[in-house]
Amino acid sequence: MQLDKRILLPYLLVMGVEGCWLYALIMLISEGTVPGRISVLGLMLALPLSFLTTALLGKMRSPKALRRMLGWLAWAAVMLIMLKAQLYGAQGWGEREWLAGIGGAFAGIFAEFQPELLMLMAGAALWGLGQRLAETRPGFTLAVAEFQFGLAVLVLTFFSAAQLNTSVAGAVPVTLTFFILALLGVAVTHAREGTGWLAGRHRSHWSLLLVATVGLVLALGWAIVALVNPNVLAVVLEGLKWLWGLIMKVLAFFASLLPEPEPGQLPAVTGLPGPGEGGEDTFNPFTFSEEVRERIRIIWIVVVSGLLLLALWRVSSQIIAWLRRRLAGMSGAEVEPLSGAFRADLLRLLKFLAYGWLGLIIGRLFPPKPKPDPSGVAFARQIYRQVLGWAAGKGYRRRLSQTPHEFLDMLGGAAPETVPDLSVITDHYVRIRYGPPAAGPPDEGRLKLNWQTLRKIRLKSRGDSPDGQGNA
Amino acid sequence: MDKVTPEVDVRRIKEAADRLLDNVSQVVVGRRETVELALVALLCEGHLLIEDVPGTGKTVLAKALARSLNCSFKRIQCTPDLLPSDVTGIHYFNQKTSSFEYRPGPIMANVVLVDEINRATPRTQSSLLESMQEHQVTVDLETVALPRPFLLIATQNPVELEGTFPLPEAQLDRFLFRIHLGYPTEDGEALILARFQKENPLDSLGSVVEASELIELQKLCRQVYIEESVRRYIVAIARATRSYEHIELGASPRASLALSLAAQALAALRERGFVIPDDVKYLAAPVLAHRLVARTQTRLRGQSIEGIVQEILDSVPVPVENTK
Repeated sequence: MQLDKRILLPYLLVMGVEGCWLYALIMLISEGTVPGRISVLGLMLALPLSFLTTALLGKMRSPKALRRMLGWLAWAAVMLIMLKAQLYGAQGWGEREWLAGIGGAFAGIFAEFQPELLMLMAGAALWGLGQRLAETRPGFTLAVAEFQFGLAVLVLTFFSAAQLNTSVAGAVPVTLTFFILALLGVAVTHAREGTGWLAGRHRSHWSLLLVATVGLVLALGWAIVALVNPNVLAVVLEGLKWLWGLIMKVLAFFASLLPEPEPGQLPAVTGLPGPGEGGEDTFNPFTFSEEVRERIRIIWIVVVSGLLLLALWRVSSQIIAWLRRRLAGMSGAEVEPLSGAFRADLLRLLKFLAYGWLGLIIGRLFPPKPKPDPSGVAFARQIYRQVLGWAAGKGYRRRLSQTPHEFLDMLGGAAPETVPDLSVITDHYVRIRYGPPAAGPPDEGRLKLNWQTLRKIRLKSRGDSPDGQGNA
Repeated sequence: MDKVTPEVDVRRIKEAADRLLDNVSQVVVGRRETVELALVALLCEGHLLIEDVPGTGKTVLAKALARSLNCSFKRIQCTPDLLPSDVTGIHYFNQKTSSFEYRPGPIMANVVLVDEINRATPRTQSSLLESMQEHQVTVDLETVALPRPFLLIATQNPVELEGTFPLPEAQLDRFLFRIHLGYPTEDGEALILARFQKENPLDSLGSVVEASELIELQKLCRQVYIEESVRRYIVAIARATRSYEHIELGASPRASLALSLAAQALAALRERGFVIPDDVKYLAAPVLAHRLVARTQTRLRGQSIEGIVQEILDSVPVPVENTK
């Protein structure tokens, strides 16, 4: 993806927002596992470096897979430099000891949680997020989503820090910076677009919706803080310990069925305690040291919190999408006060959410057999959805009130090279979507070819000037 | 879910429509879209209201249509002293047969041009209501069916409103379209002068479609497929007009039915056996504009009804795939 310099400011603001909550999270993990060993601020450089690298690689005319591979090679190089600079600063670049030290750190991973591992994991996350940002166009929707997500992460991070008696350095300035950058990002992207799902008549409602979202996240965070206390955590941990013990017993049972190995000379492994050295420090592959268990406990809490956070984000996004659809449909119209309509809508939404989650679980356990699609309807509709998504990613989002042919005219006017292939896809889609069921199957091979040709076309990113009409 | 419907023979409709269009275009120069709307009205048995200044070809259009269809044509020139019986006909006592006989009025024709309808009194205007909706007239308790096909083209002058009687909403609702012919382009006007120089081409205009064939085509048009989501889209547009802030009186269910039928006819004209949202959007303004009553403040601000209809169209989502 080639960066549009005109939207550098939104990129910087979104990156800043991501950086704030990532900093807080990594700082918490760092303080809880390897306190004082690594500089989180230095590690955060991976985010802008990844962004720049991906942007530069985007200028190359090569397959995406190759660019990705080069990107991750760059990550490896950056991580090596960071590891050397942060953890082996005393050693010279030409000395091999620091490389051996890194390798040894990985070898002793089960004995002690190493800062090298934390740096690599955090670095990978930062790099991945930087890549994602460089390949996305920062619009109003992204800015709001980042704000939502970041706020939830910050709340849970500080809650976890409080429960674990760990401090996050610079919590107040980080939080303030987060809010300033997030609100700036929301304002700037909204002003640039001038339109969006909260355009037109609902401009005055955007603050209410945003405040409602923030309030919902904070309320849930406070509820978690109020309900979850160390006693509850201890109960949960006891339960997890019991479960772990059960798993260990099962594994031990299976291990006992195996014949005992013949005693032999084990090769010397550096960094590991030898057999018979120290009673309580004897390495047992099925138990961990107290220190490692403590660190795993912290990581487990963070992982579970992250999953809760993901669930919360998903639910709030679905609620907001539902609100969007309702608002777009009404567009300032006066609503007839039908009795029971709101309750019916709410029940429908809750059922949709419930069946959505239940369906997700059941779908994983009992994946449905894909139904054959003899008429090719689903295929044609899928291709068209992909086309819309591709165009939207380039800044040419279909307005809700635009028909497929109007969208074709709009995109064709901006990029005439798309017209031949898009016309074919649109005609197929229109026939399948609006035509009688007996209209006949689409030419799937031709559709695929047209879509593949269309995808390769490099669309110029849409300019700053909004079209002045409501976008989907 | 609709039953599987066979493909409608739209090619037949398209061929007939092309013949009609080409034939009418010999006398009505340059207004192909308007003539196409007139054909749509013909195909779905609707009526036309042409609002335009004098001398733009309203009568020529009506006569050209009638001649192209080999149908009877009558003209009613509305004046304030026109009576309902002048339109529908009367029962008179025939002394020879010593019985009352019905003498049909000018309404008894396939194509009827009602010129300057807003000059007739409301009483006379209302005599057209039954004929437009039910294709029959009732004279002295006797109901007489109008010939098929039946197309009523009414005209009114948007200027010179003194001494006129604006059509009531009930009557406006019975017109399928309100269209404007407008002035021709410079080249079009020059072509009109050239064509009408030596003779009136209307005199030599022949028929290209028989009335019986037109009736069959009208039945075929009703078979054009409308997908459920497109039907819902039409309903959504009509409902949006009822709750739009700048509109006092929105579209009735008759309007949404008219839009649906017109969309079927337009789809057939474009040689398509199914209706797409583009057809609905194209016809929304001609079908709905004259049926809507804007609020006083909106009228005072000078906002046109067509502009309001376009705003409504821009706000109603079209049934298309959604992307996340």
